[in-house]
Amino acid sequence: MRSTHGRLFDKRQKGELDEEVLAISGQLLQKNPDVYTFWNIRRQALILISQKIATENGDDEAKRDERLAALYKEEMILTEACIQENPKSYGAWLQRGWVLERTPKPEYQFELKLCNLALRLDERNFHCWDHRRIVCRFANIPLEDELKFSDEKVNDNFSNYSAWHYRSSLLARTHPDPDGRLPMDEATLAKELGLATNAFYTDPEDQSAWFYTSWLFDDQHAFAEGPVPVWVTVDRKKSTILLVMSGAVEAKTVGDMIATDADGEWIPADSQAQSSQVWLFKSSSLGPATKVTLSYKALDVQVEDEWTDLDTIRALLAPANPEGSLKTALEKMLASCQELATVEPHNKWPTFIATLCMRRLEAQANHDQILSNLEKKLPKLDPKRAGMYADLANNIKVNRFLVDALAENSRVPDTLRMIRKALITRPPPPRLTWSTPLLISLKDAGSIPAEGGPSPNQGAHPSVGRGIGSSYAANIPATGRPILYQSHQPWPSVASRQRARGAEPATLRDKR
Amino acid sequence: MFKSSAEGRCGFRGSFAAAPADQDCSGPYDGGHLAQTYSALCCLLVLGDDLSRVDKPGIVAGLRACQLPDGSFCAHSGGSENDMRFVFCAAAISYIIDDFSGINIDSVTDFIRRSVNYDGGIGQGPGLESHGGSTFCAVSTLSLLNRLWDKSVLSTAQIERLRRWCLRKQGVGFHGRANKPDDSCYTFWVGASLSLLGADAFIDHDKLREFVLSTQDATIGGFSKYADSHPDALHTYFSLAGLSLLHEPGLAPVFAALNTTARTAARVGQIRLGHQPP
Repeated sequence: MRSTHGRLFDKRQKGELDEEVLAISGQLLQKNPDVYTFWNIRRQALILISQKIATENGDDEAKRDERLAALYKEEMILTEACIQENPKSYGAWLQRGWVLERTPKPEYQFELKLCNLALRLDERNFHCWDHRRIVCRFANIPLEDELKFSDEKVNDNFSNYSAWHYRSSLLARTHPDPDGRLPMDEATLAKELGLATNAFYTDPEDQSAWFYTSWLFDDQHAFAEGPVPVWVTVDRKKSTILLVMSGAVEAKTVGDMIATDADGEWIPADSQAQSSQVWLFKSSSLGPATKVTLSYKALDVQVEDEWTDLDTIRALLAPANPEGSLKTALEKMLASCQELATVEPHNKWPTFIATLCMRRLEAQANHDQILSNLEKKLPKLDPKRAGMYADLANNIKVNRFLVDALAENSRVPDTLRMIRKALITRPPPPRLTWSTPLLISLKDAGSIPAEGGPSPNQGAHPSVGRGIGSSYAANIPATGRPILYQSHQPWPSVASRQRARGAEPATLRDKR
Repeated sequence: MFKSSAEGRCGFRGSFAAAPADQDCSGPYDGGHLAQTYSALCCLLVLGDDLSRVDKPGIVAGLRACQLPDGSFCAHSGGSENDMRFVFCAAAISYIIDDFSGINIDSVTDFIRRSVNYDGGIGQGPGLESHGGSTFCAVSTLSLLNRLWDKSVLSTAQIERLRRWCLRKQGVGFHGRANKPDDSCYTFWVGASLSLLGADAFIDHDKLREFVLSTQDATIGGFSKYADSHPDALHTYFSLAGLSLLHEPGLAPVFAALNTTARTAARVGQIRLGHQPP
């Protein structure tokens, strides 16, 4: 072995990348397909040899292609042997894909058969799934055919997680949702929910179909058209403007959105961040008469003290309940889960998915039942993830407080005055959601109690060794009150922002 | 000191198997390899080196040569498979040498964004199944690039789904993909991901520790993939690193994003500030 090895490198050193190199490296790779250096040498040799073939056959394209096909066929035989030796060899699968791109006579159907065989031996072999994707791309195989393939695989074995995954990546492309809000169009979604239901009835303990189900009705995009401004407050005494967006934006967008004559700079809530949902404009010249204009799409408004889009805020907190075929599908799903929960009382999945269904269908009306599931039932059924369920419950409770605080008949102007006062003084913490500023200000005003300490789960964990950014602990109290995220530091100064910018090499921003 | 005269091929080799030490790069298939470069730099830091003899511009050029149009990285300029593993290597290397100019950040973050899957996890690349290893690589890359929390790549909802995907990987120990057996090395891959995502408080620490300790070999020590299997260096390291993240007494704290101890990671800061390592 060592002398073969030596001979190979010797020839390489001399630049003799020929058939002997192919023979030697082939021998070595069959024993160990993972030595990527040998695959590299083979590729170099194959390129040179194929160039030679092309030159030698000049105008005779047919002869040239025949010889090239034969050369690459040998390569396919080798990689097949290597894949049998190690079905997870990166090098062998890569080489097969490389050959497919080059050979004048690719045999795509053969490739698919090989994939089928490999998947029968190990249905989770992701090298094989990826190779299949490559073959389909080169061969322009219609996605619908692959969808049928995933159908077969899923029906063969409902716990074939890889097959469900494949389905998920195909359906978004074969049956996209015209509004971009659902993972696929509504009719297809309803059918998929049916397929998943069938699967989890057959094998309720297997997580594949349950994971798939939870994806199907997750609301993917709250606003398909991108982040929108939800409120702007202007403090003419402190000479600041605060902007809160529904999603994160970069400084340039903010600059385009808010026009003012005052000098100053926009700072994101986290001075290290490129983009943020909350921005503060610090100025020295923002006075009572300074114009501040908010322009966004059709919106064009002068802001005196504050501007809010309460409808958007309410929609973000409490999205509209689904209608039509999606609603029907969710109701069916909920009924199936509830039925299955009685038949399988120890299985967490029906209860968890039923809870997600209830939240999606009518989050506010089902509030109590949802919390009861998350706080009482699920921790018993799935104690390892008690913390996860408690965290989800906490988020839901916090949401509910905001919904109530901003209800139609609440005293909205008071709320906004609180916001302005609290937020100009200090920013929300970095790991914020768009509603965190509102939460902090409501807490400051005493509208939401914030209590409780570390949960029993957490203990007194030191923060050392946690890597970049300290652990963002969600205190899960024993009581029913939600906990708000504390912020103790003042807004970053312009200087600290400049320092943060200066810490990054100038070329970072230039990379486009 | 490694001679690195070839543009785009600089970095560290894994060994001298492909070329003797006293030679310059012998051609297009003899050059640095991203995973080896990352490992070598970490080794140097562990050993207290100040990296002053490392050819940093050469490494940066090597990185640049390995980034593909889709934003991902392959392992070396001679060509190899490309996936999230080498994305992590590129980010970690850049972080250690304090020079990110070898990476097109927009394009690599776009690659990560496109690798997020329906189930909330992250695969080796777009279309590939969610996997504990690639999830760690993606999350730590974003952390090192300071793009994890600014919502420029992952939205709040995606972070939530990602945490849940990770937490669902706990059987007794962690496994790397759904319906796969628990494996001690995922104590780190998934554990560190959760740590970086701020959700490690939600792990069942006792069960995880129980599993990891069950993989220890009673006769010769070391940790294995599963109980009653053969211990190896990889699973031993990742078991220890994972246990450290769970604050196991007697273990040095770990810097999850670089996959080193905190002390080693601190050396990066010391080098930047020109301080002598202790």
